[in-house]
Amino acid sequence: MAGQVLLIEDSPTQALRLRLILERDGLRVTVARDGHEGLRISPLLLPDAVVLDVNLPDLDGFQVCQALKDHPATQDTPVIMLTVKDRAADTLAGLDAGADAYIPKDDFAEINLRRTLEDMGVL
Amino acid sequence: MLPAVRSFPLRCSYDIVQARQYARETAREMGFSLTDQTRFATAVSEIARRVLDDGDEGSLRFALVVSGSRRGLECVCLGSPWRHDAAAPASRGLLSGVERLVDDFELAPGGKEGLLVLRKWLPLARPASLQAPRPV
Repeated sequence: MAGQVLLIEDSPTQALRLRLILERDGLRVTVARDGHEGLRISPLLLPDAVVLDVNLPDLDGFQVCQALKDHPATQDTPVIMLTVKDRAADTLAGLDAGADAYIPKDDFAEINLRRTLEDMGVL
Repeated sequence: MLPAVRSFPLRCSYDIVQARQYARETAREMGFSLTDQTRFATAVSEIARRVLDDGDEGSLRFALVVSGSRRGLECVCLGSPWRHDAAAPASRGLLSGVERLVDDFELAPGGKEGLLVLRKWLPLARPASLQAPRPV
């Protein structure tokens, strides 16, 4: 059965682009438009991985990641942060929040996301 | 098969992206964990950006390193930010995030340019005698 990914991304364009990429690889993708929606859905959906944008309109991605890791139902769910915030301080904040991978949105983002999902056994 | 040594020039922002990707890919192929791949690639990206932010050009040289039974990945950055004043507390403060991302962080100040060396080591495999006994 195809893996299930929860994508938390507020930009409809980015969300559609990522959704198409992941679905092309055979994954089932559910999109949440902000942090609160993502946190509400995740314990019900129990995805195989969460792909999380850092810049969200309500909570920031670090807060969402921390909340996912604090929730008993999702504490073991791999979280991949996908973000334009690529400085050392941002990466450390993501890893400190419990992110399992932190991928900058550059020209290699798609291939890195795919390889990370492979390494996590989701793809 | 990983090349033993590879160098990258630092002349424009796309060089940073390419070097970061090489760091991530090499760390992945060496067997580093996802978080350690992220740590090393981010550290490389950060120091490369510092060179270009300084308005200068520089270079990065990656090498696989061995120390006893340890294997690791090394990045040597040549650039003007690492000359004599790079060791000043203010400069070190800016780099403290980088230090937290790697295992070894060494500055070798020079005249016009200096060297900054980053290393990340693969965790040693635990000897069988230290591994938890199998449940009976």
